[in-house]
Amino acid sequence: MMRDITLGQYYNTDSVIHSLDPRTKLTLTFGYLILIFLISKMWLFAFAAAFIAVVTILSKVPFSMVLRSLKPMRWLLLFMFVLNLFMSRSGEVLFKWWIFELTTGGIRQALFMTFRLLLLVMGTSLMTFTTTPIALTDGLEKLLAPLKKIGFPAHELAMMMTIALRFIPILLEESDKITKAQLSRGADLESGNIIKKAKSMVPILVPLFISAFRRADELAMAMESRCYHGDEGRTRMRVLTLKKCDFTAFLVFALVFVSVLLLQNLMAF
Amino acid sequence: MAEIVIKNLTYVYSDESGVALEDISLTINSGEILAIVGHNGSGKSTLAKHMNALLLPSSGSVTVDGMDTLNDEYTLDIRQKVGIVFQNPDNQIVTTVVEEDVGFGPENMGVPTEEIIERVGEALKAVSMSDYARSAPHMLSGGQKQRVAIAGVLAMRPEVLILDEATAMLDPKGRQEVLNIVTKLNSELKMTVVMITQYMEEAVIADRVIVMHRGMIVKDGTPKEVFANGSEIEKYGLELPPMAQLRDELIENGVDIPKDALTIEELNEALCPLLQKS
Amino acid sequence: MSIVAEKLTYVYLENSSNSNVAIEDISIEIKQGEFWGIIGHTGSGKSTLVQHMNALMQPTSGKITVDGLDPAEKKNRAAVRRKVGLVFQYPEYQLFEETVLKDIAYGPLNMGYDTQTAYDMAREAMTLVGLNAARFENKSPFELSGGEKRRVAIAGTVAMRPAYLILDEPMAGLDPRGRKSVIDMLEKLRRETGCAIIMVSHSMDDIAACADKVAVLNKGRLVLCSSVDKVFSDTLKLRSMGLDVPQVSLLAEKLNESGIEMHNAIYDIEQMKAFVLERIGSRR
Repeated sequence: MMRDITLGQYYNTDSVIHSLDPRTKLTLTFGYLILIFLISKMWLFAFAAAFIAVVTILSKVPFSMVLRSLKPMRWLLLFMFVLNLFMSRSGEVLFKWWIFELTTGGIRQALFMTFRLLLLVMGTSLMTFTTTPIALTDGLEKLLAPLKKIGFPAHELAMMMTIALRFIPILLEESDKITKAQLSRGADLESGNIIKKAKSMVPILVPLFISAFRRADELAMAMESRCYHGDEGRTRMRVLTLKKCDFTAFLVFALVFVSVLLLQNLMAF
Repeated sequence: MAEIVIKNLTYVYSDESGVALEDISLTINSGEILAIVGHNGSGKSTLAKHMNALLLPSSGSVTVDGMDTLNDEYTLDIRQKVGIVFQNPDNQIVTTVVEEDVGFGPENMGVPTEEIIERVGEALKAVSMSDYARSAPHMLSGGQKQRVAIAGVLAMRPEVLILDEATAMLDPKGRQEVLNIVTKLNSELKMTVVMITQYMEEAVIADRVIVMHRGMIVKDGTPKEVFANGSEIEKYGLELPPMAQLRDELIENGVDIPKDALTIEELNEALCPLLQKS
Repeated sequence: MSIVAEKLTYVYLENSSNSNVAIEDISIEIKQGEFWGIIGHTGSGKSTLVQHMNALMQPTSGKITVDGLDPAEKKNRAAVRRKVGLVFQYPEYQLFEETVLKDIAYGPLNMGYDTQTAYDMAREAMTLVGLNAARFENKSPFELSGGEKRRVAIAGTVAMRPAYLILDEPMAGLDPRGRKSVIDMLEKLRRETGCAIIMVSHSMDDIAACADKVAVLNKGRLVLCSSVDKVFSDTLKLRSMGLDVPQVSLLAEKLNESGIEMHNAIYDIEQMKAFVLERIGSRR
């Protein structure tokens, strides 16, 4: 069976981190991103790394999985590293060839940017490992709710995300089926140049779009018949409530945040 | 209890493609199982969608417990009282977790959280899907998905349940599952059921059968009355349920069995003495 | 000339912890001109089996050949797909062209025929499936009724003149008249083109109405494979596999319980009628 795509990269287990309110996790991840961008001294990344390590242990997500989340980013990381290596020229010149110049400042900058990116990706991955997409959607809707006053469609956006999550597996299966059907009618999807290949996708895309529209139409009718009429007067089955552990999490993070900034400003090195 | 009264209902498609329903008058009594049969395009689904204000009459009226569907103040109340389960199980489940989907209707109605949870539990139990409360809908079988869809309607505590060809895309096992639930809801909760179907054997379990043809009701009676005459049913693009076909064939050949036998039990009863006598 | 499967096995996600055997050890021979029914409940492996016949899936182990061609070799796959036409469930959802004629001609064009020949083949296919070519060819497939769309989709495969035509649940979702006309159409197709027809279904009534031979799949295995008479005589076994037994069979079972003996399997109305008349007649 296909891996359950609606769960994204959610790692199903029971942990303190999993049980945190999605709003807490979204807010803290955001705070964490800010912190990473505020850090200007290399050794302070050790704090951030330690923080991530502790959260990973608490979340019971295997370290190997967190590291694997970096894999799709490896080319970007390498690119950023090389770019920074030669772009910033300060400090002692170690090596020079043609227009390339390797400086101690360059090495420092390259390492710095790489660490920053690494920590960034690991932090956000931890959030998606420990929160289901549907919980994230809920959390996002609640966090964005105040913006409704200025006309921001927070509820509609969340509803769209929910429906998208629901229909992604259905449409994937459907595109697989249509592809097979056209293959059995002798469709050639592999040979030829780009234009020919794009053309050969038409018999797959047209039915897929038609089907998606038909489904949307039927779903709209089904939702309407179940009294859906937008956000007005709507209650929720799952109410998000902040628990003690959420407050503890905020407190711990605030401590980390403040102490890192204090260290950064007080220490001379 | 809910009673749906339809008077001289005519519905014309907005895109000039013609009259879908013509001068239909029908009263659906509370507590009955009503089957609506008819070939593709006979107007049966269009009729069903009028019963909970998804479509509004071009002329004539539809009232649910005295509430006119044309009055939009009543729309939500009508939809709460009359729930529809549609044909394609995939296109009516909204969220990615079964129990949340079942709670979707009550959420829209503004039911307090505590009560939603209670209703969802009850509804899932009524369709024997409690074990799947936390499952993802796309991992379920067709029959299970339709049961979730029924639970989604039940959680709104409706008085009328409409199945708009809800078994058409299911395999025999799934179809049986859905039918069992529906007959149970009717007998235990006195739920009124309107069952639109292509399968004549499903219509046999109803208290009353309506045959539609070209947007009109051409027959209305008990299954025994409606399926008494094969040639007439065939004229409307339908066929008799298998046991009625057999019955007619036998009677035609001079076998003495009741003219209104419809079920396997009835035929067994009628044939046994004839075949046993030796 | 035949489709031969030998110990065909297919395993999903072979090297994974949640691997799943879809079909196992299936051996079957389908000869040209035969009419086969393949039945089994949802998830019994029916679809997996027929996709192997059309080279859309390749076996994990075992072998399948079509008229001696082995689709395990990539170069044979196009030829296999020409010989074996596969009509999926709800095939009308695959229509995409502007006109009925163009849609049906898609297969022949892919086979390399020039436009004129492909259109001629498409028109011929329309006649075979009972669509009036002159009336329908320039219509958009999307403005047709459900039953007509299905015919167009089936014609799309018939136009490729397959020697074996596989249809996955061709009657699904149709009303009684539509179901009947599909059965008539399949019989006409076989009569006029001589192609073998393999119909996948979970309705034994539909299969009883037209097939000569039946293969029953259960949990990925071929459990019964014989003439319709033989297979349908074992209603208890079929029911235990979650299959829908014809109502006439259920009646026969009931009568049997009441002590009325039957020598042959009775699963359709004609047989039951003949049986009852014979019994009563012999006593008169």
